[in-house]
Amino acid sequence: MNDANAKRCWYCQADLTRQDAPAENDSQDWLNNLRDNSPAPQGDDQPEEPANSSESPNEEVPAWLARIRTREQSERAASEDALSASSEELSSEIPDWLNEFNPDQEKEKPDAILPASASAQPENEDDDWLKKLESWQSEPTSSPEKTSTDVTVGSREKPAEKNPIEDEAVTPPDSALIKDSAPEWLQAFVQEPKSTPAAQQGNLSVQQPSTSAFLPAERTPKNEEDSLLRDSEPGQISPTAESIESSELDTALAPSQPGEENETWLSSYKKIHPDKDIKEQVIPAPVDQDQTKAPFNENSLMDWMKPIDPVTNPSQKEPVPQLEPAALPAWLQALSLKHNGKASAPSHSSSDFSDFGPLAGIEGTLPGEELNQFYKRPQTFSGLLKTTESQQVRSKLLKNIADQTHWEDENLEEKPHSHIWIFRLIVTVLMLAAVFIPLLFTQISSIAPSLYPDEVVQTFNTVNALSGGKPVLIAADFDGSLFGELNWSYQPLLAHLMERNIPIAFLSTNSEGTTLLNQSASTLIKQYPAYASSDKWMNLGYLAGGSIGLQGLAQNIQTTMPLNSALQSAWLSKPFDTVKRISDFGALIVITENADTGKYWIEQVKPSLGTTPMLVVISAQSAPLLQPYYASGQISGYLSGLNSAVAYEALTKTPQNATAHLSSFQITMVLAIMLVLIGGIVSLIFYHPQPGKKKRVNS
Amino acid sequence: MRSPLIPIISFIVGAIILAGYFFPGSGLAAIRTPMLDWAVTLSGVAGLIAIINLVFGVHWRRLRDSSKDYLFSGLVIFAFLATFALGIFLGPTNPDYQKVVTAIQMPIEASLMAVLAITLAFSSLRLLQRQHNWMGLFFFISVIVYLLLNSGILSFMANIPSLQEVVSSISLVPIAGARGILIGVALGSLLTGIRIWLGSDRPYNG
Amino acid sequence: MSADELLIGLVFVLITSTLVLLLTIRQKRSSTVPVFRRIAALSKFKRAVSLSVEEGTRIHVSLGNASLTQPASASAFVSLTALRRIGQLSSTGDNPPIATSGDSVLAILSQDILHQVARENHTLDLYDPTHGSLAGVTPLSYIAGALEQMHDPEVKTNVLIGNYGSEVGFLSSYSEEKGAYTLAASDSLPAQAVLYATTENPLIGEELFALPAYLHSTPAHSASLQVQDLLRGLVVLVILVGSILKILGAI
Repeated sequence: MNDANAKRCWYCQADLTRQDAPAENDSQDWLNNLRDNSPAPQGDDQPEEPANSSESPNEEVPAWLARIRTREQSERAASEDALSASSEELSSEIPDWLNEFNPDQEKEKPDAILPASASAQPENEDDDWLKKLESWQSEPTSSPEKTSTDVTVGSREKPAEKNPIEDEAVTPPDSALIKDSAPEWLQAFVQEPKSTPAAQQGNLSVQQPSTSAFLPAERTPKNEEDSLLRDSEPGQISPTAESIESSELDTALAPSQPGEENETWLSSYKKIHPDKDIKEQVIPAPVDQDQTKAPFNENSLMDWMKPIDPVTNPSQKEPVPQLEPAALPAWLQALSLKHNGKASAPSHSSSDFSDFGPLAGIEGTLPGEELNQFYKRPQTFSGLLKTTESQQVRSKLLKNIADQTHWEDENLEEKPHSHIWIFRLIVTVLMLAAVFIPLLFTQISSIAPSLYPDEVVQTFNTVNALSGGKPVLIAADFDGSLFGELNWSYQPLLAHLMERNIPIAFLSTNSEGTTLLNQSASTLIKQYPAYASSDKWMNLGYLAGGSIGLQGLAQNIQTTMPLNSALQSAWLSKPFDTVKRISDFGALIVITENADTGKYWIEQVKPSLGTTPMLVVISAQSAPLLQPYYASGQISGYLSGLNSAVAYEALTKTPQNATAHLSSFQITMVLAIMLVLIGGIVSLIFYHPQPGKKKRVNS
Repeated sequence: MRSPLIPIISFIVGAIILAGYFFPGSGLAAIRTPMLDWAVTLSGVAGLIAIINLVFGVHWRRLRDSSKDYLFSGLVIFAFLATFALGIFLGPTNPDYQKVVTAIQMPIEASLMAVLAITLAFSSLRLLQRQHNWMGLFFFISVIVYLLLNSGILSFMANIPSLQEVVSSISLVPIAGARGILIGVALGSLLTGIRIWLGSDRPYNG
Repeated sequence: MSADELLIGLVFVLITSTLVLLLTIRQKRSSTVPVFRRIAALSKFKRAVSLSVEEGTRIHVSLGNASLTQPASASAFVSLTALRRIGQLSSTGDNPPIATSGDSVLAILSQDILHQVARENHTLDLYDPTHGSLAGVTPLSYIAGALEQMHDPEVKTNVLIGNYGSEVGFLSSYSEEKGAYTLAASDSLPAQAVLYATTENPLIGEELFALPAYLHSTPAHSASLQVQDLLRGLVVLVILVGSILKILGAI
């Protein structure tokens, strides 16, 4: 708005000598109404201070500018004090999530709220943003929404930028930001849209641009914030007239191009016909109660924006004075006559007539209630997460921390591999050396057992007691993994059986047992030509079904295993034709590396054996589990591992593979003892807990 | 809601098998034996299905998708088909065919056990690192003692009667412990079987 | 087995079954959950499952190579119950658990359970039949196949429950070296010994069979564990009395 003492319009150079005074009074009237809705500004009570010392005393300053400067000086101090107190109140009203939303904005909040205090300043301050309103009205736009939203300073500086209201103001966070950054009077307006309808009617036409003008300070990048703050902070525009022109006018008015584009928005004003009654043309019609709508649809507001209980805010109940009808200044009418009458904004037809507010009764002005439509639109929430700069910085920081943690986890996983293989290689070399060196250097003697285990002796005695005519059933329930150990263990027993010319039938409950046993026996059988020539070696093949198959075998062996591996009848030819039941065998020998398998044979088959002895050859690792069955007499004896094989060879006086490898076995065992001992001592001394995920699991 | 039919069938079959075990002389054996045969047959069919799923469901898909290590999957499929074809034509008792087991499978498994021995020896280095408590220390001492006893290098102690008794007593300790653990495992197995028999634990759909 | 032994066995089974049924009904009616002693490995395991869901990693459940036609199938059934519960606990995660088994029937059942869990949790889009696979048909071939699954970088938790031999040391050692959390339990004594040396928190003895109750599956599991504890106490009492009588020369 032009200065009160100005002779000509700042923008259009029109003569202001006759119409400026009433216009200013009009604006002051409704601005007073605005102030009535807001708490009493503290700045009003502050005495005016001298002009800023930074100003040049010799500078020729227009009177209106000097008045602005002095007022700004006084307001700056007052507003800082007032804001320091009010910001605390505001911050207490802000939800916690919003406080966390952008801490940087909290820091900037005093600056961002500065215009709020400006609104509470004497009326000439209001002229600044009224200028923005004017420029906003004259902004040429392509769409209705853009027309009403391009008032933001940020959007003026960057016209190509998205409309902040269109994109953001309808979202709840932005509404909150409006509430936070808006002046106090606007906050009351936001909180109680229904309580002061008349006041809102008067405010509508100006609140929209005012509130939206704060948005870029919250959302735009830093440089835009600075420009906005330059525009909004009195202290920044006060020093010189150049600064006003460059900062305030350039930012607020430059897009409107005073000499040119003001005609565009003025074109929406209708011509006043001098031959008609001027009152009929300018005095507004009585305000319809239906038109006293709240600027915000209550249903579309967030909870925190819903009207506050009037009891808690009694000031909202104050009656609002009726607005005086306004008339378009003559100079504006004169200007509008030059225009071709085309509407500047597509959203407003030339017949629009403002019924209320400071421009009530003036045709062609922007009706305030239509702005309601802007806010009554269904809220559209963007699917994209909108984050501020500080939030992005924090997210990057969090991502870095997470990445670092992940990297550390991976490092912990990979780290052991980096040095573990060295220790593993050392252990491997030592163990292989312990195995092979005694085999290469035969002069390294072993410590032969001086006493024979009882179970081995009982096994020997059992085989010795077998009748030569009765065949023996061998169950080869082992796989290739422990074939080496078991081969040493059962070879002396097998040799003993062959030596005694006892027929052998063998089967297996796993797929490879009979094959491995057959291979081992075929090598051994060559040492006993008499046994090889006869047909005393029969492969019964695979017994399916595990323990279920064993039950069938125990119940009826002839139906369970009717054929041998050559698909011939197993029980018709000699010497196996004497076998009708499983108890007809001379003995049952189970060769297995698994104690559970031995247990199944004992539990499922042994009851059907009767007095037929049962022997077991088992891996050394499972021997303790078999000991109870031997102690209870369920099995007659067992061989376990290399030591038993060496003892059995000693009993049969036929040293074979087991005895040959005893020294290697013993040295490897001693090495293992040393490794465990050294490792244990080192672990006791240099103990450190497991890091990484397991630490988190254990915590 | 699950159908009650399958648990009922499961309960009846379990009851028949159990009764046939406790009353072997009764006529239940005539029902029980075919049921066990069915179970064995179904187990064999399931084995075939699972192997086909492994070869053509997993490895064939890897080969088709050219995913990681797809060449190894191709090798698995080739080895399976070759072994299967040879088994069909030569028969499982053919000495040449049995070399698949004795010349390929057995050496692989035996070498893996050798690697396991080294792995366990290496793991024993950090035994007290993992079990840093009294039980771990007791386990550590036990490992050393029984390795010594089983190595046979203490055979000279057999000539000292008092030491021989001590060694024999120590040798019985793990047997007693193993028996205690086995009793616990047996009780757990029993109750698991009862849960499944009663239908309260159903590792199947239906 | 004599007729007396069979009769004792039958009575024992019937009494045990009755106890399980009664306690299950009682717990269902009273809606009370019995409190068991704390097993550190299971407490950590629950945390590991939560961490796995939180981190979006995968849980590998190794079901062992017990055949369902063998008595060791009890451990396989426990592992299947654990698989179901783990699938339910990790239903909010992006990666459903995978299961490997060394027995064909076990593999089919594991697929069935994973499918059922996916259907219950409405995550059928995440279900893949190959998540329950037969890794190998012999113990060591199974270990080789399971190691391949554990090699997946997404697998950060390994559950080794079932019947194994000493070859389980491959799985446990690899899991520990990889830094994954390992819950290991077996009904086999050699496997338990190896697991104790290679993992931090193995389940020893009958703790394996307590796993379903500790994972809060059903009242029947809790009742079963209560009966198990009762029977164990009974066995201890019988052994003590028998030993005393033996010392006194009464028997």
